[in-house]
Amino acid sequence: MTDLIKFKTQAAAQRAQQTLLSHGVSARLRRDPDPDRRVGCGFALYVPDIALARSLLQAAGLLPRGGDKG
Amino acid sequence: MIYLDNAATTFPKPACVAQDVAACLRGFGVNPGRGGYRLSARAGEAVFETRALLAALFEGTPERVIWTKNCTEAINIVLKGTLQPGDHVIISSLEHNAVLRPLERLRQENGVQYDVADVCPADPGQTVENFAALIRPGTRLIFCTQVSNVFGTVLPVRALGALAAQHGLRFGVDAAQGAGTEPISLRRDGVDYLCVPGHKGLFGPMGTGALLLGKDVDVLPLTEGGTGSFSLSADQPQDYPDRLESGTLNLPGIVGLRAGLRCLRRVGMDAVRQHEQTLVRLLKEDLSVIPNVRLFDAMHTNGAGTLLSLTVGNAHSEQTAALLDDSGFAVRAGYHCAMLAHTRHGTADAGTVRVSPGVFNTVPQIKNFIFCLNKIALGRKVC
Repeated sequence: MTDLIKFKTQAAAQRAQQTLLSHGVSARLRRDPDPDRRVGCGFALYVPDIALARSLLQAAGLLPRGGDKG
Repeated sequence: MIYLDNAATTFPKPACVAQDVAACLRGFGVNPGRGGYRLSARAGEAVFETRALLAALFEGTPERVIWTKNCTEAINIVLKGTLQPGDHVIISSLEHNAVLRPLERLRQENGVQYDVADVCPADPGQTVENFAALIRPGTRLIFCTQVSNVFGTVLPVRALGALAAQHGLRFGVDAAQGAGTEPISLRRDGVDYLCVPGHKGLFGPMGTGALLLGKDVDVLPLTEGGTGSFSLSADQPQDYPDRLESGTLNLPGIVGLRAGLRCLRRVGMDAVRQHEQTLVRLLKEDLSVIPNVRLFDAMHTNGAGTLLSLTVGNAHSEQTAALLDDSGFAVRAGYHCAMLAHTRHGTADAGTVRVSPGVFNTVPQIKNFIFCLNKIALGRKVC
């Protein structure tokens, strides 16, 4: 079971992916499969434990508290 | 041919650079950051790994590594993307035309003003004082080269960064000659804008360069377009690096740069610098006793440099370089795209012959060069 965290840019998603992997959390980067239809395409990380992933990324300053699109 | 023009571009490149460029073109030469398929993801990973290597080398952050086609483009982005009419800039007397020309255009067309601070190679403190004396209301930016491409002078970057911070100014560095040989850090040296070429000391292919942004600075884009993000918006994205990276990236070049950076990391920047300084020291020692040869080694900081400028008799530097070419040596002569450096430091008449050894040059090659230059200085046409 995986869930996804959305990012505005590929570089932001890649840095978040690097951070998660360094903490032993798997994260697969894909294009956002369901982007905001008013804004357009974005990127997403598929993670097994979204709460843990969010918490790690927020602690690293890579995800704003309370939402995606870091 | 013995290549001694590494200040223009390092040659040859480490073998892994060409191998990785070829592997990219054959195996995953697709558009990174656009498609969602695995091959595109692989290309995107290569781009990010290279961003991360650059960010680690210069103590920046990967998302604030902006790809450019060379150092000149990075400098243009900074100057044209940050300065407003009425802003005042202080540059050094050793700046390349990559800094001088965009500033001169901004002066003529946009009301930007600039002053030139003299560099004192023997007294870095005096250099900093010369910059400080030019700060005035309206000064927004100090921008300087890290290492002179003409004389090899190393500027006191950390002290200038501190000066800029003390006065609330932005600080930009043209690291065209220093990146890969002289350490520099966005964080420790207070650099807001670091402009680097990929193809010189970082051993990447030509057509690669980067702008590394400090954490709190913003730059307006010179180019807008597709970024693979925010595609339904007519406005350029505000997030870095997309804000400054429109259009398809130079993936093969970036992959080659990644190989070059890995190689530099293995060899070590200190080892590269020490090797080049050793060869230049040998040049200085042996050429200084030839009466007809004038060395500009007084421009070296702390007596050490990774390149050496010289002239022979009253000959124009281009004549000497042509004779060296006939003898099998590749060196750069003339004015090195650095009008300020030559006019402010007394070499505008004949220019200089610039000898810039690289990591692949050897002591016997340098001895051979000295032997041939001696012959040329004595009046022989070709060694």
